[in-house]
Amino acid sequence: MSDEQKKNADDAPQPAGKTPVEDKPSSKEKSRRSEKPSRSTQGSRSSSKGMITGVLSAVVILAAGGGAVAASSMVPGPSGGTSTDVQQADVPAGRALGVCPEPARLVNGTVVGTDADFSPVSTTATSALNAVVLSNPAGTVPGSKVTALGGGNVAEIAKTPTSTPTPTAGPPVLAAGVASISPVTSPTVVEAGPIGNEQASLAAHLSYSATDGDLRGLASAQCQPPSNDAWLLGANTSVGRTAVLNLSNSSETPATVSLDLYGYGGQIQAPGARGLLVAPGTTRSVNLAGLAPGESQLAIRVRSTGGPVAGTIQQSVLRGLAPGGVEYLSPGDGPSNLQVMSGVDIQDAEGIKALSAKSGFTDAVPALQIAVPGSTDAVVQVSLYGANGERKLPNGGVVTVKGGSVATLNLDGVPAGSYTIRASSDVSFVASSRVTRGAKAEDATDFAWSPASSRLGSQHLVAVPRDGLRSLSFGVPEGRATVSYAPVTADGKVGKAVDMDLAGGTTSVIELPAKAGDSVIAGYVVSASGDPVYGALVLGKQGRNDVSVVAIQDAAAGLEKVPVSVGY
Amino acid sequence: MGRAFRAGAPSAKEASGLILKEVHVTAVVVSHDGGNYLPRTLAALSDQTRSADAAIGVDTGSTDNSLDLLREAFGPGNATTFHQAKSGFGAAVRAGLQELAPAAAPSGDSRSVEWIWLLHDDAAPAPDALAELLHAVERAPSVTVAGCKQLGWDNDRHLVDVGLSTSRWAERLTLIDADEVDQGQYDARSDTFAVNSAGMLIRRDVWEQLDGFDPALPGSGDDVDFCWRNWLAGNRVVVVPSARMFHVEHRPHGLGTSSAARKAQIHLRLKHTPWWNVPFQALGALFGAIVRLVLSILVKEPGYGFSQFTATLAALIRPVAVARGRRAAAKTRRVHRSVVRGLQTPTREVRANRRSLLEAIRPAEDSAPVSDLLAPEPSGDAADDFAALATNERGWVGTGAVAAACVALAAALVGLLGLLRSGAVTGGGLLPLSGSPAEIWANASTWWISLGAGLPGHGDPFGYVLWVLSIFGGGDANASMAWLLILAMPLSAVGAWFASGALTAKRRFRTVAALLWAGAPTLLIAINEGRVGALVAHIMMPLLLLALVRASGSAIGQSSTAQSSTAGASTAGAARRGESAVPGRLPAPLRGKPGINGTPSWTAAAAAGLVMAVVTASAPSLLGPIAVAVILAAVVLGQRGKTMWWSLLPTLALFLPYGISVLDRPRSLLADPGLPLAFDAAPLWQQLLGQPLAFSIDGGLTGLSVFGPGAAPWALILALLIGAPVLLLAVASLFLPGKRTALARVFWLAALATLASAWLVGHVATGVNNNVIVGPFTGPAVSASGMLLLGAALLGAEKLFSASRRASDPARRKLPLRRVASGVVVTLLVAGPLAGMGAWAAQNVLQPSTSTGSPAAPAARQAASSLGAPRQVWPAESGTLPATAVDRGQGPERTRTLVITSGEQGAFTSSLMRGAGTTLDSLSTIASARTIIGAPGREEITSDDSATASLRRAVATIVASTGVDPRPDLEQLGAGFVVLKAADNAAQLTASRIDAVPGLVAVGQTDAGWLWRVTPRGQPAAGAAETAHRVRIIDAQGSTVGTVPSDDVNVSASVPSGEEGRKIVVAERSDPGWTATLDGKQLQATTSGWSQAFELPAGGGQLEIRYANPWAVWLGILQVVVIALTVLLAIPMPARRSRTGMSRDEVSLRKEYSSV
Repeated sequence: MSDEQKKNADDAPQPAGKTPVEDKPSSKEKSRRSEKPSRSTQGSRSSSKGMITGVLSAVVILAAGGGAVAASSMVPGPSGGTSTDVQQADVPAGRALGVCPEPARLVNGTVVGTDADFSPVSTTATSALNAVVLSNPAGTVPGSKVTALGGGNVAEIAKTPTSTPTPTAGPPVLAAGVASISPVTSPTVVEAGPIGNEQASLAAHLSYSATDGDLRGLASAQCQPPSNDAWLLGANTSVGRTAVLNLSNSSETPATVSLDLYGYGGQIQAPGARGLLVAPGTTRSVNLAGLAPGESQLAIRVRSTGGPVAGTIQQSVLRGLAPGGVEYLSPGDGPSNLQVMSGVDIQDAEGIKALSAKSGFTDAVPALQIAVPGSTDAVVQVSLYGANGERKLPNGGVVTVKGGSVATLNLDGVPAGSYTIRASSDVSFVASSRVTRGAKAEDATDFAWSPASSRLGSQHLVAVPRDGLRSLSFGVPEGRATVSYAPVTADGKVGKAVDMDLAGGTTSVIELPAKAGDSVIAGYVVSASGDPVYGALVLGKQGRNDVSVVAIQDAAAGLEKVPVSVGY
Repeated sequence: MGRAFRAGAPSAKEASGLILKEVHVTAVVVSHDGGNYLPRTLAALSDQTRSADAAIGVDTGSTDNSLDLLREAFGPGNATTFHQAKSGFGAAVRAGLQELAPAAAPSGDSRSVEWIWLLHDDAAPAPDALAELLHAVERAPSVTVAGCKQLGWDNDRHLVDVGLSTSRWAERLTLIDADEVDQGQYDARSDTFAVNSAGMLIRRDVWEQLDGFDPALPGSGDDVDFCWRNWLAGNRVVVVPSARMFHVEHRPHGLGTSSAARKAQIHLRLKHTPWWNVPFQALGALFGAIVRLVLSILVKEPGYGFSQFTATLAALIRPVAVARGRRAAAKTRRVHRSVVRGLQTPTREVRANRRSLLEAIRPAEDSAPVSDLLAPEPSGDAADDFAALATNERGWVGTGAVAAACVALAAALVGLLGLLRSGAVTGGGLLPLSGSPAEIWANASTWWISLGAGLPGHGDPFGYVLWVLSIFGGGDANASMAWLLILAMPLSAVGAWFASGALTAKRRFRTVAALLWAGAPTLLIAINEGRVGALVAHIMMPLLLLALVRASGSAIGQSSTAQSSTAGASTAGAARRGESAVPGRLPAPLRGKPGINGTPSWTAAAAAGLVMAVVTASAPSLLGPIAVAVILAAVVLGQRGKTMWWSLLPTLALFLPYGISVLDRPRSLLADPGLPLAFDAAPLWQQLLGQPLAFSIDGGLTGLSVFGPGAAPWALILALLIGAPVLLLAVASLFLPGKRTALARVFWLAALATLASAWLVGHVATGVNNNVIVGPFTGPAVSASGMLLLGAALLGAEKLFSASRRASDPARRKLPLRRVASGVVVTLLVAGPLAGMGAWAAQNVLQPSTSTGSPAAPAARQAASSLGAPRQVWPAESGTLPATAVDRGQGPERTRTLVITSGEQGAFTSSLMRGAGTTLDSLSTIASARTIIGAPGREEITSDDSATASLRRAVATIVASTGVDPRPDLEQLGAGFVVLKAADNAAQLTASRIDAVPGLVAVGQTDAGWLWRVTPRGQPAAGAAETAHRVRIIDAQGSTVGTVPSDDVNVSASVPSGEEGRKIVVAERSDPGWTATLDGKQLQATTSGWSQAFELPAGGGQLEIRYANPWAVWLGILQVVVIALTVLLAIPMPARRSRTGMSRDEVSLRKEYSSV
């Protein structure tokens, strides 16, 4: 304001100050000549005054500008743009699903001879499906059931609750729904609806065992949630080995599955591995020998577009006429720089060493299989943790795996015991470990694969078979951790949790009792705290060399959130 | 009463002894503030050779000594006051007669004839006037009204009127030429249509019979009306040329204004027409008034046009007065209306008279000699003005402009390689535009923002700018957008060149200004970041300055320095006094040509208004500073600033509906158009150097590794090279004494005020895109202040170098020092913009072409703040959406598409797009500012409303793919397609997961991303081709039972009948503005979740759904009227006009009503 006043005051002399310029005589000027002298004398007087006010006002304007610049630099200026946190959107909880493979069966076209002693058909085959569904902290068991893959109810575990009481403060009151089905005749799906906005905690376990026939041995698998991307290791299509990939689509959307096959020599291009259509509610079996024949170490990446699929490989071994065991290969953790496998149980180290030398028995020894998906070679550092701490591998524990190929590291120099294997590299890879039983070539042998699993968190649910030898194996590569496990009995009660302190670098094995109180144990609720703990369920049969290892699967997702921002 | 009668009676008896009938004349003098004229009038009255028998005076509430004069002359008993001054002459006469000289009883003796003689206070009769009048009426008994010849008050040879006439349109006509000298040429006139009321002699009984003058006509037109009725009553009206009356012409504050004349004219038309013709006459008058308004605006006399228009309206809105007048007229009418037809003037004669008036009227006495006016002067009012700007021997004046534009064009072509061949441009703040201008117009003028789930609010004013742009592109808005980006720099150069012509006549400085403006960092950054608003504002700003300078008449007049100096002086002087330059007191008052030397220009003001509307629509944050600056200027300049008020109107009209719809969220008013784009605001000292984005001193130049951070502070060097010379010259303009210092100071103050206000406003967050909250861009404010400082710098440069030129003239050959200095300065001035443009072009060429097509998530601010901004605008290689989705989106389904973009760290960006994808014109600042809450500086995003929550939930459900069906949400959102866009491979996994989402059917990978179709839920007729609709019918259970075709906003379709309890659901947020009718019957509005719904009866019918705002129509009309009038006003009129500055109409009216 004051500037403008000054400016106005200053303008007054301007016209007068200009008068000397008007020398050019023109008609209009002449007429005004008479006024001129008086104006110019007045002008010269006020001209100097005007000059001063002019300079003053200019200084004031510049000072205002400078002041504004200086002042604005002292206080925070406008930012122009700030990022806020992306809002998290709750993911509505879906059904929890477990897709179980069908009991092991012979490949179509197997010649069934007349000789009863050497019949490939197992007459003693038994199969059982054990499913456990955990309640929410308020004790409400979600609606859950077991259905055949193609539709058709098999069993109901719990009815859909009509009301869901809100969890009260205090320790959670857990209950469970339990189902046991035996025998199992087809692929089945165990499903549980969400409670509130949380996914139900569900575990189901299929076990198969036979004491005769080609498919002799123990095979078991956790019923897995279907996915669009899975890695399966341990397949073997060399002579006498049969690997059948079963792809089950439990969704309502057709699935188109592509298989990436990795063998010893690198990736295998198989024309039939692309675009395998799996219709909703069906299982498609793929004999891997047709895609990659003669591969003794085969890793498969199952990718599906459309519906997610559950893939398991039914792997069986026949050495000449002697069956070498049967197992379900389940997907393990995806590619990562660190893979840990638990439950690697080694018995009779000497016998294994002898066996490994025999022809045809190379796959009858414990081993670590590593597949590197990328093109970069991986230098993998392998550590073993036994009951008494870390065990050095005979060859130093460093193995180099070519990019895009699969390598096997035999563990034939390792003393007996239960181990946890930790493999790490600066290149991401996938890994799985083979566990074998039977050290004599003439005895019945069996094998199992323990895929890499992720570290344990809270409330993992493990379903266990109701008979046979059952143990939980926990490994803590470093640090210290506490594991607590609570039995779930067949009558739906969750027992008292037992806490166990685990030292770093060790593996602990807990033999599981058959019963808790009066009731048969159907499963366990396992929680871990402290440093990373990895766990697996190791199964066997009394007096037999049967073995099967099942990794403890991830806990239910809980309330999931996805950051979603809304634009235009 | 009796006393007054007695007072007049004896003299009457004395005076009328000779004639058969005794004639008794009562003179009635009505005065209103007539103290200056009354003495002569009264003296003339008393000097009559045949004096009046009685004289009464009526004073209508004068504030001067009129009443005393009347009392003195007529005696206290014969002068009265009449206080209803507004009711006019006729009422005063009537009141005076009633009080002082009541009519004699009709039973009075037949030998006495009473007359009244009406006299104005400013009309002095000649001594024999009354005698001549009486002589005339005595000869012809049928003459009941007689009038005098009116001559000038001071000049008794100057004819004013000899009888009056009317045209067919009831215009009051004298048919006397300008400055016509009385040579007795009309002395033969006798019967005439009407006579002037000054000196009108009326037989008293006729006066009583006709009930005097019409009270509805207080001033002008009353005499015409009275004579008209007199004729129709079967009597005659004569003018007696030998009775002379000396009448004051152009009396100040007289009643005879042009608007009163117009009002009277309309009233007369309505009054004297057959009843059935009244409505037609009224309509005709209204139409005529509109035409007059438009014409007056075309000839740049809007004030006159509006007064005529309002006068017409005022005449039309008083039907009671018209009816009363008609009744009175009908009572006395004895002969057919057509009797007067012959006395009216034929149209041809009226025209001829007008023409001769126009030719005869001299320029106003204050106008300058003709020789000056004939000199070509640039005013912006004529097409050839710019050519006339500087006609000298050095060749074509525009060479500089062309050179600068060519340099700028070359830089732009290099820097924006690849845009030429492109269909649409996208990136940064830019999105493709709608295909047709109609869609852009619909988006701009809508009251329902069709963005996402829809929301109430008016379209952005910037939408109209885009529409104009699309019109320029022949309907292809995308092509014109590409061209706009390329031509932005040359256009800026040309604009600045023109604008600088208003401030300097020096060609080199104009060329430098053009280059500086074309290479301004704001412009280069606006182009690279796709900030269209800032870009358009930058291009238009010089034109706004030019127009405003011209509107206030502050532009320099002639190329000669001497004259421009005097012009500047007069400008400054006028600015100080706040009034128009008074001629004769200033050195060179070159009057006449509008736009320069203190003559305001309507054309320039209207052009300023239009340009201001464009600038403020493009950069709404400038609305406040510009409006305040213009209002201040208009107030300070007073009369000279009157035209500037008009320049505010278009902006006001443009922003009015928008402003009404953002009353609850005013921060939208500050938001930049386009996608909200984060930026790093520069500190004020960098803004003074013309840099809108912050740079660190040693941050290097963006994209140029040679000039990267390190060795030398390249950023500072370039910034100083561009900004410092201008700043120094601008400072110099403040200190150098001389002409136009005031203007320089005004520029400086405005520049500082703009920067300060922008700095303050910058704290207000105005837009949200995804999770980024942005404030108004600094660019427009930097452009505005840069323009003003450049103006000041031009003034400074001219002062420096024109002064030196004159001083060194004799010694030029010896001392070329100053010339060298001038050359160095010009080189320095040119070096800055050239270096800036070069760096920009090089940076854009070297920058690797990033992936295009997918709208990248808003880039986070760069950590290393180098000078300049990387190029973000690229040709869009594919449509925003896959063709399938576009088909359905634009078809009757109006299916929407949910676009999900997978970002970093598992975050997802989503948008619900309509039609062919979100377009620039469909964006809304209301929508983008809607979710911001909190005080300035501490804003945050509100929690979601249910529509946004639904969208977010749908996205989460889809990307997480937990097997949950997202269709309930998608259905309510109207989304029939899901598109996943991603740049990296991680999206492959997401895509295969989405494949498993129930209800989504994978269509495949398209150019625009992975596409899924949403299968409708549980529709009985859901075939493979079915898809979600914008409008659907749900049953009582909430499941969809039918779909309805719709338009973008409204719905018009037939609905089949069905069961009770159905609802019709529109996938838009519910709002009270939605209405629906079924076969014309209003449907009950309800909601379905967050969407708008209506209860649908069982019977079907024709369904109409509308979104209506009660103000829409009126505001629309207002906008159209204001903008259209402004456009008319802005059209330069090359036709020669009368130099008095008055239009034809006004000229003739002045003449006609010079002495009412």
